[in-house]
Amino acid sequence: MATYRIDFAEAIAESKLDKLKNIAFDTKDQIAWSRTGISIDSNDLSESLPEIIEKISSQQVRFNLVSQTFKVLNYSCAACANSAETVLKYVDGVVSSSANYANHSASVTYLPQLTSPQIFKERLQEIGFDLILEKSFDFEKAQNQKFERQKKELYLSAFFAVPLFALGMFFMDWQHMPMVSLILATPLVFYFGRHFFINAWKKLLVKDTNMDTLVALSTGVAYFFSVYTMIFPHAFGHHGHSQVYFESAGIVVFFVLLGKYLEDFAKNRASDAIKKLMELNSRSVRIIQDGKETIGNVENIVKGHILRVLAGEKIPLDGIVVSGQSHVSESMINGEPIPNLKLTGDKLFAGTLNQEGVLEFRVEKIYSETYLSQIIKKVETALSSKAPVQKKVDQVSRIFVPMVISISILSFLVWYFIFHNFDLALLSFITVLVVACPCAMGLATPTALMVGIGKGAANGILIKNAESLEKAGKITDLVLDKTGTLTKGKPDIVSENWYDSAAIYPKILVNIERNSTHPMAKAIAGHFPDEEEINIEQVENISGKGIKATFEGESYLAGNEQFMLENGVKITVKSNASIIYFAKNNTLLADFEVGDTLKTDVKADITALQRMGIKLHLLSGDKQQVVKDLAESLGIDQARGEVLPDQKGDYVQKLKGNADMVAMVGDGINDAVALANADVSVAIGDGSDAAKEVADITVLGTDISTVKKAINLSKFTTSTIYQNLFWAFIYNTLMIPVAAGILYFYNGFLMSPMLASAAMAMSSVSVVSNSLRLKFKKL
Amino acid sequence: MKFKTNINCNNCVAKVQTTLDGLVGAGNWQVDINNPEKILDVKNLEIAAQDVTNKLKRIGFSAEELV
Repeated sequence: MATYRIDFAEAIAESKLDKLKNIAFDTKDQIAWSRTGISIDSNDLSESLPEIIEKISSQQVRFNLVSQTFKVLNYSCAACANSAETVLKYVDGVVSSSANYANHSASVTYLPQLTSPQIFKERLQEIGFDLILEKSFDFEKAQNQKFERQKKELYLSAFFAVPLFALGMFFMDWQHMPMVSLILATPLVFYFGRHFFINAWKKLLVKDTNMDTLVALSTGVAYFFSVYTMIFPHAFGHHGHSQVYFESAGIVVFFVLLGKYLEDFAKNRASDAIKKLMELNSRSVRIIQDGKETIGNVENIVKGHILRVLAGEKIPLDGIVVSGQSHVSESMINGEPIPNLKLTGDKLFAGTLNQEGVLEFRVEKIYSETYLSQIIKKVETALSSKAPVQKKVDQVSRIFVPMVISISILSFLVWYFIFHNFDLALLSFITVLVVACPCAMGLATPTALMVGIGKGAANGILIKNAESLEKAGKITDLVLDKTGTLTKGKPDIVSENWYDSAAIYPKILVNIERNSTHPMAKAIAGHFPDEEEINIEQVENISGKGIKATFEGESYLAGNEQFMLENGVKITVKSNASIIYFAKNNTLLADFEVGDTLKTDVKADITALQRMGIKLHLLSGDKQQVVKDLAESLGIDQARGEVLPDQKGDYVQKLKGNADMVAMVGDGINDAVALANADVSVAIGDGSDAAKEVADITVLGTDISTVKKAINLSKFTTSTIYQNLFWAFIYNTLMIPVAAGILYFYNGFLMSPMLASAAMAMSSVSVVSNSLRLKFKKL
Repeated sequence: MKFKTNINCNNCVAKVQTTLDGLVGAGNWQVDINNPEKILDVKNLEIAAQDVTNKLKRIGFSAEELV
């Protein structure tokens, strides 16, 4: 017996609950009721769930049901399709399922609270089917459509709001002003602002309030009060023209809509991350079957298929080479700039790039299981998080809203029953609601974020979300990766030794190396760019070793240690570094140390970061001694070499136990684990796109001084958000007593709703301009 | 014991394989897909016919014991 908890889409009223408890069910499963949902004790949920959901839904109670259609692979007959349907039906949390044999699909209606498409996939795989998860694409499309709709409504509402505002501000005495205002304000309040009324009503049903309640109440009361004074112009003893507040009602709706739009705009940018990762995947593949090549879709490939990859193509799936040989650039997987030679039996990873040869490999992991897919999944999870500041704002507004309403009612009661003044009572009631309208609070976070994120982009700093931005300012410990972060990440000549200084030899060497596309050879050829062309003969490329060639009857060799030893060349230098040797017959002419060189100005940037009080740690997969030497020369105390990607992650994890806020700076997917473990992850420059998209913060360009700028930006933006919130709340809390008429006893001052809406607009303006001030800060 | 089923083709046989191997043991069962009744023959007599029917129902196949 297990207990399953199922929430309603929204909480229901007590009276409704009593009605639900009287429903007669056929199932013997025990159901426990509450206003927010039900708990079912069941041995077999799949038997009772459809009935329970159906009977409760018929009472106008909604569940968070999801209906989705999936592509299912390996249907071979109608009975198979039926089998898939039944398997899905028996998954706990599935309400109904139907399989369609003709278009290889299955539609499932399920409760996301209890199950997920991933579980459907696993169950189907158990009996030899497979299901394709394409959730992210549809999700993204839906997001975009919603955003476009929102944008359209905002533009449209501006058509009404702008003239309405002008009318209220400058043409107050115009005799047709109330009528025109009414015409302009009506669509704003009841069409564009309909969500506030709907949400406020729904909240009211469960005896709850939020910002929507305040917007609905203030705009509603201001609107109907104005309609009332239009019909009875002398009700409140005003002379000349009737007092209407249509512009307050309309403008409030517009401002709140604007705030919501800005917030979603910032959010929308974040979801671009997934798109970038998806692009690393190649969609069509070359399948080799019975010696023939056919083109297929990567999603239909199963374990054991043999695929062919041509030069310049991406490896579509993880697998093992069965024939051919080539260099494969895996910089997106391991950050290593030098491509690896892949021979029969070597592993290949999806998303990496085949450089020159043709490879055939056996698929080991299907589309949804590859390393790359797992990273994509991680990013998806991260993107659905909420900014910590916003949570605080929500908390405060939870007390704020009922408080404002109580104060406005209280002030009404005091004026009416103690001072017997209905005019002032109604006026103060509306004024309090209008002046406390939370649109400044609504703008506080999104405007600062917009400006902060925008300023970041202009400075080559891409920030994933609000949370990352807030945390970056609090970094105490910074973990740096060596290759690609401190160094250039491309092979370069570090040192060269010539044992024979004849001018002809460099010329011969370069002309030999120009025949190879190997990165080491390119580095050497690039080291002597000005050497003229000479006629080299019998060039022989020995993969994984070097090049053999003939010039004027003499034999020359350029390649690695093994190549030299095989050809009887005596090598004098022995070192751990990558060395390319150049020999004539059996005599060594020169050797080159090929390695990764430091980026310019790294030392100054390191010192600047340390001066900000940040402790630095250096981690690298490179040899222990190399890393130690580098750390010493840069003045970094904590350094460790020969660290595997997993160990980088562990190191960060351990560091988190001792430090307040740990940041990781890296450039490849090999840093992905460490980046994910860190409180703040920073991807740098030329590194792989995938790493950039995983990271909280991406620094474009190769300069780590931008990391320092990112930290400053974070500090400025966060303090702007807090200033904004402070101003928004202070404005409201100071204005509320004034609006309630406290000053009336002191100097006879009574705030009018018009003044209140101006004050409210002022608080919004001050919040927005405070955010804009961020633009001119020097990072 | 014998069952009349809708295990129609070799692909269907492949799909019930994991389930039946687990329940009655590999080699203890056989489906004659050439027979129009698609007869499943189970040689392990320690298993209740009801179990076989239920397990197959869960993965979408019907089986009716022939007495």
